Amino acid sequence: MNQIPAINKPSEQHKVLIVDDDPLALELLQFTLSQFGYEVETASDGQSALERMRWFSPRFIISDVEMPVMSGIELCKTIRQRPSTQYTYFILLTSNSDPDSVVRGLDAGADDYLCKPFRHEELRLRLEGGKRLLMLEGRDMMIFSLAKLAESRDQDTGKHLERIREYSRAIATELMQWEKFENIIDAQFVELIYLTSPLHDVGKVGVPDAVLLKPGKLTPDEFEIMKRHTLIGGETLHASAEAHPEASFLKMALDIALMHHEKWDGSGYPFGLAGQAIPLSARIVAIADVYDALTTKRVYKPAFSHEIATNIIRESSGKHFDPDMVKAFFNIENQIRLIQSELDESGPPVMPITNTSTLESTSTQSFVAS
Amino acid sequence: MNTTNSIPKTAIDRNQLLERCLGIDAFAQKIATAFVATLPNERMALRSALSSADWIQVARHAHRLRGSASNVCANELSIAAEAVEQAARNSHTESTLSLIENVEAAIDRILQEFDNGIAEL
Repeated sequence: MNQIPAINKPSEQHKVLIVDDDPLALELLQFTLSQFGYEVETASDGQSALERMRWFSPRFIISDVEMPVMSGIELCKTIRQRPSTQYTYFILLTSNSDPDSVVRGLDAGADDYLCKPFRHEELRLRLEGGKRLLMLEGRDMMIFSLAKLAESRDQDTGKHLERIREYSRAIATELMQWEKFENIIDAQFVELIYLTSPLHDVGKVGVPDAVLLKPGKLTPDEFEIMKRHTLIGGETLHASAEAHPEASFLKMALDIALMHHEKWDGSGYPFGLAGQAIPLSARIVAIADVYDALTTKRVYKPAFSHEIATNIIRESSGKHFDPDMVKAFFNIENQIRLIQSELDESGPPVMPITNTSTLESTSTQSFVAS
Repeated sequence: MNTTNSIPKTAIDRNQLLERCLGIDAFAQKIATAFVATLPNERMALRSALSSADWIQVARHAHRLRGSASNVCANELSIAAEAVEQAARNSHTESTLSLIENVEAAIDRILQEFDNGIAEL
């Protein structure tokens, strides 16, 4: 009867803040969670909870609804409105007699709810569910961090990765609504391309500084070395994808890293694939990558205006880019422009020009290779 | 802690409370004692709100009492407090007054059982 369940060592993933104005409820929950291996702090109302959060950074909050000073629902709303570097999983403690509070709580941003009096097993399982979600957040952050790390050697790309994933998601979302892609692109595809597109240039970690950081145009030999970043990224991700075939994001990341420089007409690299032999995800990222390279200032070129960039993209339809991708791009041109301006960090773009033929040689080498 | 159907239920369901306390007797006892210690004040607060006809406060105190009672498996009190809470929220003055008697009776029963040592876990 007195056997205490196994206690795990608390970790960051195990920090819980309980908020309730009933000291007994707090004590009971604190005791139970401690027995489950969680590190627990308590607060008696929403306002005190926000103060506790300044020095105790919980991954979970379990909060009563009705409390003086600040209710659980107000607390949840406040937390969701604040900028935060990490997600806090919010569980509301509700009573059976007040089903409306569940709806109000979920509407305020709560992740889950638990009816009072809570049952141990249910509490444990709901926290386990929350941990799975937090682990996914950790995975996503890790992927983006690795991409950022690879990108950090390239000094002038700034928010390139942030823009690429936004462009890619926007294009994929547009395509999802086309009958043609109805059975190909779904919400999961859109989510995965957002997650994995920042890894497109991860292979640059293997490109020597002399080439990667060279100001100005690359020689043909240097360009050959630069082109290897697709193979390096592909090989790295291939090993992971083979070891974890169930992880669909690794397969998409591999496709993108390896083939985002392939061209619709077969003139790209590393394999010279053409048309639909190029994975769809890579065709989407290709257009996002080039548009971003064109509209961003680099050491070897100024930032071109949206008009110049879109002229180049339009002219490249059926050559560099899949015509469907180009069409989708122009269908959401305003959205693309909005993303570009919101995540822009370069100076003013050069004035629009009508004749883009002079840009062709540059755009097919320096921009696209970087 | 073995109970059978022949043994009448106590105001605090001891088995249920012990289960809620992961089978740890000392903690169950501590929680139950702490709960019982709050009852006189809770009763006073409820009576005071009632005498002022402050139905919002009556509902609030009843809500609190219901929550803490359910936590320690004082189920009779929890049900009675919930009925008061609902009636007070709906401004059913007369039924609140009558339902409050059930709360009083449930509190009395818990206090009496504790005095007699029946609720000793």
